[in-house]
Amino acid sequence: MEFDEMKKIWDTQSNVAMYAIDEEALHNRVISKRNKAARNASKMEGILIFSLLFASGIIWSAMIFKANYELPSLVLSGIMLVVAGAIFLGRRKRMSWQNGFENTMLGDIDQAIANASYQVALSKSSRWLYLTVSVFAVLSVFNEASEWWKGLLVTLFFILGYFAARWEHKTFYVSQKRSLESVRKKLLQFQEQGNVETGL
Amino acid sequence: MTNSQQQQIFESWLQEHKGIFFKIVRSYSAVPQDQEDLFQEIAVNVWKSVPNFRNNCAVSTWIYRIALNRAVKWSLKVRKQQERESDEEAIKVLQPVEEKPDERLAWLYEQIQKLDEVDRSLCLLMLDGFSYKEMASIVGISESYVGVKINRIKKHLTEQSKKM
Repeated sequence: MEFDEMKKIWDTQSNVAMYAIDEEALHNRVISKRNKAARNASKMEGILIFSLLFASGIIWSAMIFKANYELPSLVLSGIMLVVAGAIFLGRRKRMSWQNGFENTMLGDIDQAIANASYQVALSKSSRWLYLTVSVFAVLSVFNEASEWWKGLLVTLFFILGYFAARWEHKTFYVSQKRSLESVRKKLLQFQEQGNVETGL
Repeated sequence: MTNSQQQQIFESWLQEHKGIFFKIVRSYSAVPQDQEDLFQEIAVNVWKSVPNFRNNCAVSTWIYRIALNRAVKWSLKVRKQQERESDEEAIKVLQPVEEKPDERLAWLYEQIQKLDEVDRSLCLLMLDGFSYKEMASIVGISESYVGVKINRIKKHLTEQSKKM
């Protein structure tokens, strides 16, 4: 085929729409994103509360078993219990505003963004908690361990863990929130074009 | 410029030049859900560009410049993202409404999709009758280099058509 013929084939394309926007599919996509954000937030809360209670339980068991109630361990365990309680209260508060969004496509995406923002905040707070726990744990190892390299290994482990948590925060939580905000922007764009009823 | 003026201009551009949008979308993405995503990205960027349009070139040239720029960036980004995309992202929002698919046109799109990003842009502009000067300005390469590349693309497409 010569190029001129290709040009003719190309020119046969009419200027009519090659695509139509499937509003139902778009709404399903939004609902799916909303549910995913809520599920992720719940999962994260569950893991954090369980881990904190479990770790606190271990510290208490060790203290009772050794009959040695040291102040750093008591403080650390107390912090863990307080944080677990705070997460639980935060979860209850989150559940209470879940139904406060409009029953529209835009309301659904706003709910997903709110859940994602909550998750970002939770992940950020967890990193601070991690740092606190790390400091106590490292101090405790340096106090008890006879060899300095054991303390160094634990310190390195916590540093690596901190960077892994930071990576997770940016890769999953922040990017999910950005993706949802981008969907919202697109929805508004469609609404402005009059293609989709978003409830505005 | 007010929001409603911007919207009005964008709507008229979309109405008059939607062919450009669809051609670019189809050339830069083979999968329906990607086409939808790219279409939305291009639409948002063209809408944003409305206040910056100064009438120093044709509207079609302006739209091509914005849309191709977006499409090239999008196609580079999507390569990295594709592996991370979950199944639920695969819900189709843009539905093709083409009733009788032209096989030769489909073949042409397939060949365009196989070209690299710059060649793809040049090929689209060439098929839509842009001059070398306009192509050079849109793609950001020299006019003489456009000529060299266009000759290579034409030769390549002609050779591929013989294998049909």
